[in-house]
Amino acid sequence: MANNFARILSGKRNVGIMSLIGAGSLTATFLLNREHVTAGAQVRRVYPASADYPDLRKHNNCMASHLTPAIYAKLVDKATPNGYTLDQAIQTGVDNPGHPFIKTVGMVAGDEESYEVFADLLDPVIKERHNGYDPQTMTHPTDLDSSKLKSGKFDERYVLSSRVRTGRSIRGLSLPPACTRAERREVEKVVVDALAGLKGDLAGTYYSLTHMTDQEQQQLIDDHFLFDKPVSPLLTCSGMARDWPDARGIWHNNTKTFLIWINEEDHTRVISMEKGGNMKRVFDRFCTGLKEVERLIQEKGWEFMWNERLGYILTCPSNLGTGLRAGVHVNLPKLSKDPRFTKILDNLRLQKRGTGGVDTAAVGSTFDISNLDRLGQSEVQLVQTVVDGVNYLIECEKKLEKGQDIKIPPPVVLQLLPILVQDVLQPLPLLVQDVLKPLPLLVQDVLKPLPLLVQDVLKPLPLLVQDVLKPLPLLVQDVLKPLPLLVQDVLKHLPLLVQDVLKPLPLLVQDVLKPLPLLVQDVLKPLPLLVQDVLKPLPLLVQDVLQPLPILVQVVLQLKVPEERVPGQVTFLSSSCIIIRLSSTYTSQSNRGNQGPVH
Amino acid sequence: MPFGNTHNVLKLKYASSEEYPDLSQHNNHMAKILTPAIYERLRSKQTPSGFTLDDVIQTGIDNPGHPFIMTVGCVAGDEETYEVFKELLDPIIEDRHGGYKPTDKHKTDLNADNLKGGDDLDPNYVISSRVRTGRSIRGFCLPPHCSRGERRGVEKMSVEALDSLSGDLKGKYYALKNMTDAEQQQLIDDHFLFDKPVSPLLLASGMARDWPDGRGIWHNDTKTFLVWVNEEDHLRVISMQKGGNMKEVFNRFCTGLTKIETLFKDKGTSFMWNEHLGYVLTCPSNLGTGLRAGVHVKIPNMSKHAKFEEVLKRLRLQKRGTGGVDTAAVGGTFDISNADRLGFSEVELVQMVVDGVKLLVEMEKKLEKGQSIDDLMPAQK
Repeated sequence: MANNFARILSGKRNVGIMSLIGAGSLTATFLLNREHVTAGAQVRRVYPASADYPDLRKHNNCMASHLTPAIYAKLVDKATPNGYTLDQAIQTGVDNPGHPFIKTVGMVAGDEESYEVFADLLDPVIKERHNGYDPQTMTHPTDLDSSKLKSGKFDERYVLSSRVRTGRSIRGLSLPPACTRAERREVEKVVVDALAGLKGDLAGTYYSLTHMTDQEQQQLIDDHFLFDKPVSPLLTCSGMARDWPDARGIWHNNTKTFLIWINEEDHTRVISMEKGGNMKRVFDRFCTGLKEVERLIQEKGWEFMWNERLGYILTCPSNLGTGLRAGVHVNLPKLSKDPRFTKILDNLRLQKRGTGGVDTAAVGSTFDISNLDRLGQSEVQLVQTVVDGVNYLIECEKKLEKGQDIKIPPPVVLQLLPILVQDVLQPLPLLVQDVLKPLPLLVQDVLKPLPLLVQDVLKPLPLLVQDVLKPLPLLVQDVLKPLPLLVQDVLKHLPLLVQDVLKPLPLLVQDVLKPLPLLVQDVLKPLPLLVQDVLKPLPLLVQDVLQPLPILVQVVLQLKVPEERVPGQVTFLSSSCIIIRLSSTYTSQSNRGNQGPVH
Repeated sequence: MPFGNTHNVLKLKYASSEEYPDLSQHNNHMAKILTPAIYERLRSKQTPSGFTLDDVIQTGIDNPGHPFIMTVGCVAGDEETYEVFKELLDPIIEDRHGGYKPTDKHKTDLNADNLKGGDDLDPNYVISSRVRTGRSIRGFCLPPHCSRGERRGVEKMSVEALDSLSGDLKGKYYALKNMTDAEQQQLIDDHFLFDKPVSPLLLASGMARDWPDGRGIWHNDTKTFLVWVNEEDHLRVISMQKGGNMKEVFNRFCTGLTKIETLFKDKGTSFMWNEHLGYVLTCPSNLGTGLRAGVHVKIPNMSKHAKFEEVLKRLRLQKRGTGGVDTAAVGGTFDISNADRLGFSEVELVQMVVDGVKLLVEMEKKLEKGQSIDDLMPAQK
């Protein structure tokens, strides 16, 4: 296609070539890797870096927290292939010192390559802003399968409207802080062309800011769709408002439930919304619409900026990953006055805003409640977080209405675990879970006669872990049920040391296990196998016992309780408990089989 | 280079017509002059320090202007801007400065003795007198374009020069970022303090970047000579006092400026100046003398008179509110100053103000007595 060839010939970026031959985004990611991005236009520098280093002593934003003179000196001579420089990226953070209570990001990207060329600064900024997400070691999950969303319909006595928004950038064109007029017009053209191909309930019309009639403008204002030239210095100082209103516009479908802003803070902002509480439908339309738009631009040889490390690339680092903000306008007259409101929101990973959007105050008791996070969690996960959270808030409100008390929910677990631990916890044998569930006292009694070795293994663990194991029955039941959550909840009570130690799990396991017998060390190292390998030094018997245990349990439950106790045999006094025989051979009737070594 | 798009050599791959700004709603000097053809010829150029056409015109694109007020719509990033982008700036200068041609020479005259009169403006009407101009230090980029290092360099050099002034010019520098609350309050009470600009005309040019780094106010102990560092220009020099003794104000102005210039020359630099454009400043509207000499004068009757605008026009004067440019007059008190900057010398401009204000006060007095002013109507200067 003419577009592709023109772009390749212009030598803009290698990605153009790779997309043409269909190598896909992974290769594109590889090409965008730092080492492959060469510097662009020569940066004019008259003074040494130290003379140009900004005065950030009164500043409180993420950029100022991480821009050391050393990093500044390293990056200030660099430019992206488009010629975008560090000084331009940080200008908004220099010009807007911030607020003691609100920590803004303080920098923007001028193009996709900014995230590579200035990674020495952007990575720590991203890490701080996104709860420790490390772009160098972690991958971001993208999931736009809205069918996975559960319970997405809210009580409409409380939820007045539901909305999901995100942004998308067109690969190959600079972002709003840096784009030329021609690039901005190209973004408009590409997107408007694609949107013209939407059909059915997504079919709609484009209203260019430069050409709209007064009547159209008034209608858009009444619908609360119209966006104005930004006035916030956070935005204007980055240069994104240049040439306003050239190539800016609003597209929306005929039913006014799917809306796209073109060339505001990002190339596109995509919004799905409805009155009422049907978040499921809003999210369905959101995902369908996004995928359709993507398909339509791909037909013409374009694609969205996306990579595995950072997800969808947008102007502001705070919007990386999903760029998703799913929210509701919800009326919570009683809950909003409860002093625990903020803590509840925090634990649910939600934020509140006024109904005018960011930096506005709530009107009455109606709040805009949305997800805090953007990166490290998929779209489905984030919307689920909002759904679960808002449902919880409504439950609280209802309780308060009835004069009942409410509880602060436990903090939602952030699944930003290193990949190893994630992979470890996810596929834990269902068996182990099912096995351990109905076995309260068993574990205690199984562990009691365990050889000193195992006890010695447990000894150097923080006393807390032992205390955790002590009341194991109830703990195991309640705690192990949703196993990933459990581990984190258990870990919560561990001394910070243990938590921090577990984070880089491979190293941790090594360090924790150093004083342990090599056997146990080797056993515990590969955590997926942990459970199985932990059981290794246990008497084969125990293993054998536990493995076919479900069947055994079922079988045993059908048996009568034996009269006398046999050493090595474990019997429970209550008739509702289960009898376990530490026996390596069984028939349904045997009760005096070998006991095998019990270590 | 304040904006991310300006050093984008890759943008030259787009056709000029694709990059040409939409100026259909615009009313400023830049929009009037900048044709697609001129844009095409100039867009690949840049000054030695890297200032490009888009840098020059960004403020004019972002501020379409007003049907009644004609703004300039462009700025210079360094001294060479006026050379490299002549094709655009010469016609703008001609339009803005009353037909000043590219071949014209500008006369500089800072000899205060050449001023006739000016010491006897009636203090019952003339509340205060003031002369201001700007100066740029050769070798440094101008506020829209300078780096932090350059701006700090300008500050350092200026403060060194100002600190060596003596006699009634001896004074002190207050850096914006270091001033104490007490100092700040005093400067506000003296009406000396300048704030971060809010006008989009200024902000869109990039001159407010890194505020308040490198900015400050110097004034002499008697508070009659004031220098702003790194606001809209490298230096804004202001001489002022209460009352109508414009001669004294202008004396101090010329003395101070000449002394400062000598101090800079001793350091091996000078002010940006040339024969054609006089003193070079950020905004093309301030070229030549960069001088605005004015008074705050009480003329409630005159200002309501039908011929007020006509009189001002003939006297080559302009009116502003007492808050400065873009403010409204309060209670019949106006800021009256020269309309011209380029093509007349400093002495000539101050003379126009002195003579013109004298006439306005006479007219006011006549109107107070209910008399006509028709016989006082001046000829077009």
